Amino acid sequence: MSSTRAPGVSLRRLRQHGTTAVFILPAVLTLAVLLLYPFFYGIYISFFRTNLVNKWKYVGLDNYVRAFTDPTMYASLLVTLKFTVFVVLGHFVLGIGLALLLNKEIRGRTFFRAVLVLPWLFPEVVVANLWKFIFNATSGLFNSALMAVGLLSEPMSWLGSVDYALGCVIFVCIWKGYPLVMIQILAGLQSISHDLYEAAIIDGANRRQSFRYVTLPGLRPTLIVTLILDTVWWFKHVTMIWMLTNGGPGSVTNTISIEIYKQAFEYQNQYGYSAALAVIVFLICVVIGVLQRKVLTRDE
Amino acid sequence: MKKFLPVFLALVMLVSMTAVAAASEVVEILYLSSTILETPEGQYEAELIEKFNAEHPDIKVTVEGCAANDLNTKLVAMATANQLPAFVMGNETTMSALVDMDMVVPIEDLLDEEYIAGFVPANLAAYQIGDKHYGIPMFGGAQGIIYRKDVFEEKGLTEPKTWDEFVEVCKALTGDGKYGITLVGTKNSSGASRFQPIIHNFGCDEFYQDENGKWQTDIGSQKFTDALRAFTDLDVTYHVVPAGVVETGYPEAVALFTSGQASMIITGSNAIGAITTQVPELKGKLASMPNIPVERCVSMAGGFGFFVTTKDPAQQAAAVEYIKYFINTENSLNYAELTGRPPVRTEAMQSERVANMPEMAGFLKALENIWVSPTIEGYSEINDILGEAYQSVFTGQATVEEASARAGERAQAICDWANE
Repeated sequence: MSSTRAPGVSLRRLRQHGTTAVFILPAVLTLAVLLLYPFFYGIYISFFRTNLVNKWKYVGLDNYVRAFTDPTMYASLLVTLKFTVFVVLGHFVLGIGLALLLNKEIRGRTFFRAVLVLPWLFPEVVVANLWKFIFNATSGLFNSALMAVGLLSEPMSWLGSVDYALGCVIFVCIWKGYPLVMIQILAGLQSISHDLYEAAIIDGANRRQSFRYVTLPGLRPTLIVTLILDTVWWFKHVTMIWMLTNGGPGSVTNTISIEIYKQAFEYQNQYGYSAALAVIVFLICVVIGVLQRKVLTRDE
Repeated sequence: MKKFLPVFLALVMLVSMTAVAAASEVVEILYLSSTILETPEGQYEAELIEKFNAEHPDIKVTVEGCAANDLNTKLVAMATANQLPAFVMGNETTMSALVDMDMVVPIEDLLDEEYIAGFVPANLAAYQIGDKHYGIPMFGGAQGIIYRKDVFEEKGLTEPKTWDEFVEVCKALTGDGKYGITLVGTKNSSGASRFQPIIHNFGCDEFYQDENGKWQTDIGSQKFTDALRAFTDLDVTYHVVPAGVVETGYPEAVALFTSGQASMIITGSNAIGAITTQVPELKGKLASMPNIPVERCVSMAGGFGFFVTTKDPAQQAAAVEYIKYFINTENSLNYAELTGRPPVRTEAMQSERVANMPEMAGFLKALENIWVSPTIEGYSEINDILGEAYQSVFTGQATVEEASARAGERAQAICDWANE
């Protein structure tokens, strides 16, 4: 049977596959050019000491050995870890809290939804400059306000303080990034069927129990995706930290991404080492993603 | 009608070809500049380019702006992508990176000997590597200190001649919400380039080659430690600096000076233009002096140069034409009067108009002892090394000795890297 239909079917299938290939080719080519080429090129140059133009000295794994023996990398990773944990935690606390509030039938809900999304809409450069101005030691609004109410007797250098700089940077990044989590959670909340809440109430569940046994399981897929995306996004964040503190004072806010940026573009001929650090960060992000997924899907 | 159609078409073709031929005769050159984004330099330069293009119909200069602190980064990125403009402006650090990548044409290949001999030697020396010069001086300048002459007179103060006198002057100027000096404490080239004159004057050479040609460093030495202590003590011990020193970049420092919150600023002569543009009332109330001598009194060349990067002879000739136009006597004197950036040609420097800029006197004196930056591979890391050192002391993250030792380790790593 198949032998009699085979030529026609094959030809049709070939045509279908050919058409499919034509349609997906632009996407595949775009991915190859914009993602795969830079990715593999980055790995390639991590084995060289190079200025990317006329000096290419193969150094094998030297850049990786240097990275793993350099205390600066571990210090930067520690700063990155602190930064990421607190920023993501802040996003989730604020994002979930506000999403729950905005999911209720409150007056002016649309207005609050629009206003609370605003930080996410501002470009990172604008946000960083705005908060840099607010935190400025000599002419900043924050100091003026604190001095006006008597909480400060003299101006304080917030972004220049070893004790407060990282906290300020984390605060700004939480402010900038919580709307994305809020919107994702809000969408997740709205996809949970009201029947489930009604069933929980009939079974005698109180609000907390409804949240624990209906809302959280319903949000789990959204939470997993959002957590992984948010963690990886902020783990490799550069723009606002660079604009607020340049990784300083000293090395207090010198995250691994700032270190990679400096090695590549501030120092000379360190592209190979910078690429090696970037590969290490990539692997860390992969591990974080896999671990988060495993932990959060354990009970399923 | 049919008879005229071929004639009409032939005419159209002729006109089109003439237009194409005419267009192809115009040499278009792209110029990357940081001063084009600054005030008052930007407007002046834009007008000058417009005027040049009008006077030279065969050349079209277009300019692209880039912030001074990002200039080296952008240039390196453009160079690695093989997208360098025809010519760029930059300093010795820029030159070091461009020469390393074999991206810049020596000026001996572009200018004749007689013209080269017309540059102020100190300005030209900054762009020399081996027996070649790679930058055509754009404007000169040296590092020094600008101070409020009127405030000094009011307090009965004179220019300090030693570091101890300098500290006393700073103390005398501090009080009632005002401070002796504003320091640029950010961790970038703006901050590091204002700390470098201090370490140089304390006798510290960042990098130098010994008799065997091996790179060595004084960073981390006792001289460096003393310089770091003296510099940071201004804030940490004597409190003669406005709050937030590590957040204070060049624009903030200028703002503190112009608002009267600080009476001195370590800077290049270009700050005169920035200050008097912001507050014209300060014209005539400013004076300058070289950086405070300790073991010696030297100054880094505070100027910038043009680097011709195109390999196309027609573009090279067009770039040189524009550069010569920019630095000719009349234009460079106009630029100096507006911005405080001195001319680079001997003829212009001998003009009476330079003598009539009394606020420049300290910088012109500083120009007599120029400290030439080393050309070691990896030199651009110096901004971060020095920035980390003074910031960690300013913020109490490290003692002077610890910060100096850490800076020494990093500087030694650069030497080891270069000596490999």
